[in-house]
Amino acid sequence: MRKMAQLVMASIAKYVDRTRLQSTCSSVFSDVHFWVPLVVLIAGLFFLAWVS
Amino acid sequence: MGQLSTGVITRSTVSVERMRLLQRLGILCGITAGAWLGAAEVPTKLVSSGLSPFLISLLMVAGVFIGRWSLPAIVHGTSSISSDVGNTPHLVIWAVMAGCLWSVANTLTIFAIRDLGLSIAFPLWNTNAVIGIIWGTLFFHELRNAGWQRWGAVAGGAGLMFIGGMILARISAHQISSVSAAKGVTAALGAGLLWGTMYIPYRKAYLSGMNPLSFVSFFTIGELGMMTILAVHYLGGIAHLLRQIAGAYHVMFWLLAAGFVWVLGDLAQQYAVKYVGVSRGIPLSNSNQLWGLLWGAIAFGEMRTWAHTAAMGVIYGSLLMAAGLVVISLSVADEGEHARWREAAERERSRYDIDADFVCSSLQGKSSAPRKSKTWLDWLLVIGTTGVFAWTGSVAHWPAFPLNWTAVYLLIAVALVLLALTAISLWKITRFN
Repeated sequence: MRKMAQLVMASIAKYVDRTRLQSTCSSVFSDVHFWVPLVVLIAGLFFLAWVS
Repeated sequence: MGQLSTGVITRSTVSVERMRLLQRLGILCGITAGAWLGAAEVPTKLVSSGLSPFLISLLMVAGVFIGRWSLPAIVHGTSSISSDVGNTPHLVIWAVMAGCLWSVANTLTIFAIRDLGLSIAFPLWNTNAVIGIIWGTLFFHELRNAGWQRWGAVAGGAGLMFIGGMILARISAHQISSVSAAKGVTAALGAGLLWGTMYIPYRKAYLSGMNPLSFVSFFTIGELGMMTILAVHYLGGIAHLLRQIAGAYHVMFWLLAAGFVWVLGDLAQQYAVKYVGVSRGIPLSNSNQLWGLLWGAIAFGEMRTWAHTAAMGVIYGSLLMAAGLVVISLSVADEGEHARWREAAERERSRYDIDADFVCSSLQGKSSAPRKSKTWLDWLLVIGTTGVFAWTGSVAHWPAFPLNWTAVYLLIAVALVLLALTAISLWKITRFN
């Protein structure tokens, strides 16, 4: 399992620019707008747990 | 990327004729979205008895996944998708988040339909328009510089929708047991909240210049991923899930078809949001409420067993909500408001370091990159999709459900005419950009 994970990560690293990926993720997570849908998604999962 | 000077989008101008043309196109897309999003719930209704809502939602999302990769492959080709991602890689994360919101909302709607019926549940989750207006105004400068008349129209329309929704919620409490009604109303309103919030990523994508066809391709990864997690968790593990899927092979076609029909409506909705914004595009596409009422009441005869006063209440409540949607839709954005939209686009460009030409072209419904030809992957996706529908269709059972066939043919014909008009207009005016 670990070997497979390492293989997948190596394949991703081959095609994805790690610096760009880090800066993209950092821009998204520092955008305050991103946290609004995330909080609503978590609330939605609680609604679902109650109605199901 | 982003080498042009700051403020270039704010200072850019779109001719008044082009702006009006794009707004008219956005309105047509919104109306078509309503017809197809309304029709998407019909196959779900046909097979709802005896199946878990999680299984229904998962199979529907599988149909959505197929549609959201094959339709963009037919129209633009997958190479355009990779070019869009190169310009706006951050939107992949936003699209996946939007897809997760969609999946949870869609599952909630199935519970709502089960507990309340199609005709009541629809208007309740359409409160997502009000949520969308709030986010559009707060985050994307929609309705800024809009003047008191436009603000009044939007606030008045939202008020009408609220009153209509309350009438329907009251009727549901009288027709259905109180526990079912409470759960059904919570599920429908919860779906409204999630779908209303899902428009934050939509608007972000289109202010940043991403093509709607590229956005939905990544959106659907979030959808299928989240829905698979939910189905595995709630249905008792992978083995149980696979057993239930195998047991539902005879209705799989209907659920995949529901997902595919939803994609057609959603694509029209994406273009509506792009060209008239969240605060107008979503109320327009939420005319699916009326289509839901027509399908539920006329084609399925849901109200046959109801008292006359309750049936009239549903009609009055839906008409009030529809009037609210029309009022909101008629408050068209002027140049002052457009300038504030461009400010929001400039903010996105600057935050995520996007090429200014890419954003400017997209705001005018044009592409900054030359059109690419189709690849083997595009044809493989189209052939695969056709194969899946042909196989599931060949083993599908026709559900034993009484239908008013005249109404069914009429509703399908109107939806097809709207789709054809929208596709031709999108091609002529924007080449699907």
